[in-house]
Amino acid sequence: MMNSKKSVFFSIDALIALIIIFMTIIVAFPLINHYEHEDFIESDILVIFSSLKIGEVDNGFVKGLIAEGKISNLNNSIIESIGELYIKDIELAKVTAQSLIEELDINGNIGIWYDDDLLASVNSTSFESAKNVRVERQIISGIKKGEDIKGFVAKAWLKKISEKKNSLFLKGDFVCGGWKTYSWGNYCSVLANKIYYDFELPPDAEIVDSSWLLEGSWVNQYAQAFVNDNKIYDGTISYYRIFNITSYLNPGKNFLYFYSTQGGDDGASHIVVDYKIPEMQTFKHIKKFPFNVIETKSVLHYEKSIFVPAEISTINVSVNSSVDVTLSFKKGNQRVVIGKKYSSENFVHFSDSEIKNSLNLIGINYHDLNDEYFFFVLDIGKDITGQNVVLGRNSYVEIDSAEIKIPYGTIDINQEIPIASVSNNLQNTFYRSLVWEFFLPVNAVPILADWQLGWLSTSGSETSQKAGANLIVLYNSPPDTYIKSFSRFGYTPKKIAGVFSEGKNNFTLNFGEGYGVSNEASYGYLIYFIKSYVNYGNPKEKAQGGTRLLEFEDNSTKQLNLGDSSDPWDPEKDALDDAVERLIKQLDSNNNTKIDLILDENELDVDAMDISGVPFIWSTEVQIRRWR
Amino acid sequence: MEMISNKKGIFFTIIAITLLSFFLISFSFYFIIQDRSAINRRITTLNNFVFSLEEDISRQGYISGYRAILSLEDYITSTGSFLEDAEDSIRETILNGTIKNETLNLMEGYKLPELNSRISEFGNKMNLIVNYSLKNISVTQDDPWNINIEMEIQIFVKDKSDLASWNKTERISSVIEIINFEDPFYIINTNGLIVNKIIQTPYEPFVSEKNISNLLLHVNNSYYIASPLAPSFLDRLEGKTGANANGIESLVYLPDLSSQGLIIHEKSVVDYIYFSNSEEEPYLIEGMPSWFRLDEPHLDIYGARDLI
Repeated sequence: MMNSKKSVFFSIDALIALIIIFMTIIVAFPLINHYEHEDFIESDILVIFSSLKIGEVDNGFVKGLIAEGKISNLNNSIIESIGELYIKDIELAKVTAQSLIEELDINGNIGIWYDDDLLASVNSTSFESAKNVRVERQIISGIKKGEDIKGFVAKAWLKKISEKKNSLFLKGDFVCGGWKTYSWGNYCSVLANKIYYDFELPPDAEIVDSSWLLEGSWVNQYAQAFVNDNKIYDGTISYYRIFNITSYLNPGKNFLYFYSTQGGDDGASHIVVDYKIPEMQTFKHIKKFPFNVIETKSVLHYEKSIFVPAEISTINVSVNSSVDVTLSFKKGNQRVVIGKKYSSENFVHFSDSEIKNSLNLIGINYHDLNDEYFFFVLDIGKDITGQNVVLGRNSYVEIDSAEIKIPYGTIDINQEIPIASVSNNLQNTFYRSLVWEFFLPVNAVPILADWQLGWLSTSGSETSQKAGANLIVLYNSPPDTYIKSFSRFGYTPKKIAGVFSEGKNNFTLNFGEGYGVSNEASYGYLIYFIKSYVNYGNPKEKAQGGTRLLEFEDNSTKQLNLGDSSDPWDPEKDALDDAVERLIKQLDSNNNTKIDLILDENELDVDAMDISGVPFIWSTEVQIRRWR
Repeated sequence: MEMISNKKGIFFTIIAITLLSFFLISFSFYFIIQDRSAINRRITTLNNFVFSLEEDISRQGYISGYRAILSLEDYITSTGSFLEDAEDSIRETILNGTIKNETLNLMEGYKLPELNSRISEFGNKMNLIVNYSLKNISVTQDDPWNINIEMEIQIFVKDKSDLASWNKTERISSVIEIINFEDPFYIINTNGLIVNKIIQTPYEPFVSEKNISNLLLHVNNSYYIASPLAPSFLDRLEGKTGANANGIESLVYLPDLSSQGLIIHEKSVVDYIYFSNSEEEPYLIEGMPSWFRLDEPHLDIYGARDLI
């Protein structure tokens, strides 16, 4: 029994000892194993690959790529260089990475991944069968599979233009000889008047078209019209009459006059000359607003309309007359007499302080005159009723105002604003509702929109008058004061935000019963600047150029060859093509895909700039994975 | 006998306890080592991340800086005026994507602070909280052909389990080559009609044994040379014409100007002299076109002293 117990005891003892020894071995083995393999080879590779320059690598395959020019930036790190190859030629990137990783003395499994792509590995077991994986990561900005490493941006600009179309718009003023004031109002006598209109065209202007709209003080007024001493009309004018005077005009000074035995000008008359000129920039800051020369048989009443699209600092008026001159100011229904003066040496002057003080009396300062029509009214010869009155040359309103800053590298465009629709006919061509529309190209800088309106009042009583631009109300009577002669309207971008916008714009007039404006006897005039260049656009994959047919407003076409003319015209991919398309869009002032300036490939210079290096912000994650 | 048996029992019990203790100690030691190893690995990962972050910030500085210079050249073209302070302007463009509060299209999505979110996202994948902030940017030129953008950056990287964190201020540089950028002198002084890219001349020496063919090729392409008499690229962005140790200069090809209807002056064709009010006496050079003139200090630079 004793022996049997002992054997059991020793057996159990031995078993326990064996278990302890066995467990110790189990624990100790992996510990030893762990010590044997604990290193950071994956992070070491990442650090070396991201800090060693490709030009410093002593690797035959890499040197070959450098010699072939397939690796050009020797200052790039190994990781960046493989990244560039990864974008251009993934197979080449794989071979390069493999040749580099194989040179390392690595025990175990190591692989290099760019995002999800395994580029190279040294392994004895596959990654898919790995039970233990260690990963080191690094991000490389500027590299992304499927995207370009370097893009191209291009700019385009006009070196010069063959010609552009300008429109001269000369507004007639309200002129009446034999002006009489009664208790019930004023009366324009049926008297003889001779009104001179003169203007100067640039010496190199090529006149394309020209018209003179004459509208007398009275319906069925007798008139004679002369252009540069050519009598172009002799007869009565019912409401108004439009004359084509193109053949009578010439570059330089032109003289027109209108003679009538029965009245003057109701302020709707105007002359429009369309001409071509080779200069890009023709915008002039106007300071002098001349009075027309007038000869009449009795008291002359002259209302000079003025629209200044800038901050006014001083106003002076000078009148060439040998008799008494009364100067008044009118804006809407506000009116003030500035003074009555007698001629000294045939000239009468009204100083800035006199004008300013008088305007202050009715609560108007110069700032209120910006961007709105106002009138200087002359009454000449009131003391000598019934005698001849002459308003001589060099009579003017001189306004000093802030210069309109011409945006750098722009072309000024001035053009008619065409009427889009009319409704509610009053009589003849006079309507109660009218809509004008115009288009502003991309990047255009609007200066002003200005209308001279042939108006007609059949009732004589006050009615509603509404003016709006792009659905923004600009004038609304009532409550605004009723304007008897709604002959002018203009606005600038400073008036209210939104009156001008890129693309389609409109201006509307709506009148109540008995009041209308003629669609034929009215003229809308727009001035804006277009940029003669486009800056760098979004980066594209190439800058090759190509061939593009340019269409002009006169339906002529010209072939534009840029860079490689055999390359397809693809502005989505080609920075040069994109720049030209953007420029063309800027030069199309009415959105009909036709260029409004005449130019050809010699006038259109396009430059391309290669953004080399790392212009894009997308990134790739590089991983060095080690697995067991 | 019984006594002996008891002694043996104690002996075996002591052995068993000793072995058991050894086992327990080994086991604890194993876990400590294993834990320390995990910490080591994690810290190495974090350290590598910080290293790679610094590397990438330099790349981002390059991308942002390159676009900033392009944008500022666009701005100069648009306004027709030089920058008041090129360094300030580059800094504002890189940081805010604006110049004088005007948004620059090419900088949309490329402002340096915007890039922080991408890095944070990347750090998030690695269970790291990452933040970096730009404390200062300086823009300098240490050589004629490169602009150096040096960013002082506060980097904060922290393991989400609070294992370790990095909080340090680093100065990281990005170097931008000025080759292929436009020379603002040409843009402004020709009303935007002539654009000249900065390309280093391959035609030196310009004159050898009275052979002027290289000088002709050099001026025909308006290539650039480094010149301590001339303004640097940063000076050119500001319209400065004074000498700079990192200056560059080109010779203006006057036929290009006259073909654009620009008035030609009888002045030295060295760009910063031609486009300035300088009254340096110009010298005609034998064999060169009749419009080609150099001022006295440039006769030696272009090897033309014996040709006047």
